[in-house]
Amino acid sequence: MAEHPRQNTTRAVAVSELPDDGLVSYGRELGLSLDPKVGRGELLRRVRERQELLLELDREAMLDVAVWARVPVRKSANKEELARRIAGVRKMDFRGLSDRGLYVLARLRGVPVRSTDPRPLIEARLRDAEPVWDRLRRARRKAVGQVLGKVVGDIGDADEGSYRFLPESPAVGTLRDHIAEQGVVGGIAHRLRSVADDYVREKLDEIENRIDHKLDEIDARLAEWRDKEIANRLRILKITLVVSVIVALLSLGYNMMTHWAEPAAPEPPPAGQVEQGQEAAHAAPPCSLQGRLV
Amino acid sequence: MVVEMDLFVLYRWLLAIVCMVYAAVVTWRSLASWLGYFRESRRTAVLGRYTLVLLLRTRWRRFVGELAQIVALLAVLVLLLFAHRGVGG
Repeated sequence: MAEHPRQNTTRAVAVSELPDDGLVSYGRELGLSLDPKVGRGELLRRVRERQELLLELDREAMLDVAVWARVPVRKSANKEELARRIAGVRKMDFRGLSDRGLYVLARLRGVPVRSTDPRPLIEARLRDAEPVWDRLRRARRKAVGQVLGKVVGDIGDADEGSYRFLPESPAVGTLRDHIAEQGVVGGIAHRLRSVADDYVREKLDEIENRIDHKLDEIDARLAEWRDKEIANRLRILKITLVVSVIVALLSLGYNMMTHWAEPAAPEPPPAGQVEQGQEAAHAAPPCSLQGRLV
Repeated sequence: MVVEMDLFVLYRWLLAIVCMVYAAVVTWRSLASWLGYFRESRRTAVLGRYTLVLLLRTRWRRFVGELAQIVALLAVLVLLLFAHRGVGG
């Protein structure tokens, strides 16, 4: 599906009018890794390059990627919306992804591939292009997932079912259309009913938002409490360790004192003196030896 | 047979054993009571899973300073313990 050229022109004008931080966040939403320090010209060039790429890519292939990654999108979503959703996908298991989807994914991740390249080559290039930290993070999450799967139990994996697109927003007809279709009373009644439905839906959404907000608040408070508790425990651990180090120092000091306070063992006399002493002992009269013994 | 007894050495051993046993018992009792509580009913099981998720979501980078100090203190403690061997240990 080709996008309307006027929309692109409007977007191009809007992009050039965006402030630097807005440009960076817009580019990041589209899956670009932008450094705000590179300068406005470079930022604009990269964002426009990405827009040109989106024009070039096939929307159906992008939908394939969305279905493969199971990101919630409408079937009528435009390329920009799809690109935003695909930008957050870090999945590296390409089973179930069509060839054209794989090509689109590689292009969106900035991997230089051609549409004629064989599938294994594109997959290998995508794997090579994955940053080491992402790879390690994925491995860590996989390990944690396995452990938690054993502890908590795998829930819902077997019942994933086929992918379903988000429902399209219903087309709102005019009162004239309704009257033409259902008559005056029927048309007005339909209109009133739909207005009442809208009101109820709006109120329900409001209540849901309030509940969500409250739950988020509770979650944030619990997280804060958890952080305080961990900090407290770590402080206690540190104090315990400090006391242990002090006791170890005292113990070491005590050991050193007892070691130095021990009387030095008498040194053995030199060999010559030992022989002379033995001869003298043989030569000495027995009384003097007895005296020594006594 | 007379055994030479050093009171300080005895005190060190007794202190180490008592502290370790006390810490192990208290930790085990606390863990067991929490696990028992989380297994009481379906609601508390959900609470247990939420607690697990809350723990997994901990940002350990916030405690890098404290953790580094603990590691340094541990290293000092191990060095001091090894130093005992050199001095008449």
